[in-house]
Amino acid sequence: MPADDVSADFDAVYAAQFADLTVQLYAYFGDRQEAQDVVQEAFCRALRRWSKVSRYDDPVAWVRRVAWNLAVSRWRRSRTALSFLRRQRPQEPVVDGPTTVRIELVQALAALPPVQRRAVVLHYLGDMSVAEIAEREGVAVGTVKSWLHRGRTGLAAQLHQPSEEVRRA
Amino acid sequence: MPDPLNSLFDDLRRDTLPQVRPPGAEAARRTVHRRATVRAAALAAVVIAVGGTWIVSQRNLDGTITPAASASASTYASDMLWRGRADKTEIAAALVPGASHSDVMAEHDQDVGLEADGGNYRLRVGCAGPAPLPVTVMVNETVDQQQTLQCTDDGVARDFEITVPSAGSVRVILSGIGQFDAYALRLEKL
Repeated sequence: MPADDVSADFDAVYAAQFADLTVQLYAYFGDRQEAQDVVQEAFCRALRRWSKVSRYDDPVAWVRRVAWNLAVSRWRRSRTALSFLRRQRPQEPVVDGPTTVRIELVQALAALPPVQRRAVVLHYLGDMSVAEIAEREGVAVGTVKSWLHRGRTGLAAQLHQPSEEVRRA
Repeated sequence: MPDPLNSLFDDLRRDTLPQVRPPGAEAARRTVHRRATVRAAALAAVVIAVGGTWIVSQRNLDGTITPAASASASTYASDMLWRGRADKTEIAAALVPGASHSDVMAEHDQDVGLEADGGNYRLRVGCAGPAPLPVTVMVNETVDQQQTLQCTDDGVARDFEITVPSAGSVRVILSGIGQFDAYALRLEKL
């Protein structure tokens, strides 16, 4: 693949996926800037080996996996590279504050155990099936169903929704 | 019945997307380029230091140079600049067969997250290097055990028996006090 094509390919994937991945990790962290840092780091790692990653069947899945692995390993708290990324951030424009619903949902997610929170986020924001989450997490499908069920119940309780409205997996 | 959470997450996505400000692909390129430059500079500095140290170590008071003695220049430089044996990474890895994580400690803490279902586990941590390596094991975000490994050049390993009450995470925090130590670790379900 010519170098220009590789560059263009990376730019296209970056443009198409950055925001969506950031939303997923924002729901997981509850911190949008931290989510952006982790996603940017994942793309940096992808770029470094893009000639190989771009040949995978699903390069986006690789980036997503790295981003989530970084999130789970708490890499973000210990790597000084973050300080460099922070210096690169564009100035944040003044925007409207988050809506009440968004705050409540993010707070409710934060109250869930990490595995349940991750399963819920991957399912609802990552559009991943139960089987895909199970493969990603290296657990049985039934385990993911249990996580999702508990996660939904926990969210319903936090959000004061009647638990019977929560759909079973 | 439609899942009420779908609409909530759709709202979350719709509200958040406009606020995401990607640093950009160009910023990623600059980061990768900068890191490559730093790596190259560090390597060059090591090479220069090795050469300089070797030359100085071989120079007598009268300015003449004598042949090298038993220690090689690279071993000497490794001791001075990085501390510990050059093969410390391999030593640590050999102490933990099938290690999932291994690296050399930098000046900051290493924080390794490991997924775990409920059950009993054995965490094996091996290290080789010049400094004591404090290890903190956290189970589901609570400190479970703390121990300092007295690392040596020949390497040491310790097993931590861990009980994870429910599906969650095991975090292993290796203190930056152990800078220059090579480590390897593995979590194994019993």
